[in-house]
Amino acid sequence: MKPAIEIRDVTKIYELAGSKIKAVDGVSLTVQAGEFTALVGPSGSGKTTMLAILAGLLRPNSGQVIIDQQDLTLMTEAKRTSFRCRYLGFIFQASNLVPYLTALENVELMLKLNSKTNQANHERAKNLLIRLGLGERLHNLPGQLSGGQQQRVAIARALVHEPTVVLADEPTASLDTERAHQVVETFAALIHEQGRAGIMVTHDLRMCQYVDQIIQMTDGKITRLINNRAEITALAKGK
Amino acid sequence: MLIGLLVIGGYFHVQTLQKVVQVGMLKAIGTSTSTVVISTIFQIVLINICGVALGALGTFILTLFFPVTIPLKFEGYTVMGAVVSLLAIGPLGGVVSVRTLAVVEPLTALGLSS
Ligand SMILES: Nc1ncnc2c1ncn2[C@@H]1O[C@H](COP(=O)(O)OP(=O)(O)OP(=O)(O)O)[C@@H](O)[C@H]1O
Ligand SMILES: [Mg+2]
Repeated sequence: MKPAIEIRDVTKIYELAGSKIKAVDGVSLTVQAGEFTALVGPSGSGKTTMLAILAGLLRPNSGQVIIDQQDLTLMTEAKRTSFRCRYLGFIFQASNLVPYLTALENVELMLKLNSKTNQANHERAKNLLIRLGLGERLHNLPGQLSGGQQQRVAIARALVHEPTVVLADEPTASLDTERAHQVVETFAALIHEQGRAGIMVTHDLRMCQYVDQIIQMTDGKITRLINNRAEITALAKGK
Repeated sequence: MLIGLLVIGGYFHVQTLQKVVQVGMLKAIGTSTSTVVISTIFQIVLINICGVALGALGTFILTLFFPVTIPLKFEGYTVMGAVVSLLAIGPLGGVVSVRTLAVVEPLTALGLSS
């Protein structure tokens, strides 16, 4: 089976006041459908840059980014925007939701953007939120929800349009440990059940216990790739 | 007239700056720039029409209470002229806002800029 995500030899160089920073340096990786990958590494190692490239938000200087057998680097800006809408789901660190739309409306926004508003999808959005423990909160505004609840709404929004890939940048950064575990655990379960390819950037190694593959970056390069369960568990428990 | 333009334009601009993060997020999840622009224009025009209507109504009610000694006259043409020019000023003042939102980079949703 073709992988859902395939990155080949991607390099991204930032130019800042004459000096060049190699934020991503010859990275290649693959993620299969139904596989959840964590991207870890010290601050400044290029994780967010890598995620932005995967999302088609940033064009790499060289290399290929292939999602669902389509090369993002060959698309125009407008094409990439509609590609993101159709094939990708996003969970950001913060300010994920539109403040004047309810939880359910925020999730359905993704269906609207995709012109996929029908009764079946409406039920799907509702059921996802119920599954994420927000059955009583469907009609609350984001301001009336806790941080963890808001992130769970964002998870529902990232999955409702049945994307190929789901990307999350530090989704638990603003949550306490217990909430963070709940959020990532459900997120992982949904990725596995629905067969999405998930990539999550995180600082918190404990969150890695829910993933199938850990990619460690240092100075823009992949320095370690762990995909056996025993090693993942060991790392998540702190060696 | 110029003052009106500045006030209305300034108002929309402040509102717009508060929306930059949100629009960055919307673009990142796949909202096209044309959708953003169209809905911004729609909202500005709508707010403007409501504002002018309220203003005209308020003025009309006030005139009912003015003692006849105040030498103010509201004639059909001047009123219409004022209403029409106010309706035109709003969107003009909003042009800057539309442009600001049109060029927001979706990258800002990840806290990066190019
Ligand atoms: N717009 C930019 N212009 C110039 N350099 C940049 C820019 N954005 C990021 N960088 C640099 O690129 C490198 C990688 O940054 P990136 O944000 O991808 O790291 P990160 O792994 O996400 O870090 P953190 O864990 O702190 O979020 C850093 O050295 C950073 O300073
Ligand atoms: Mg980062």
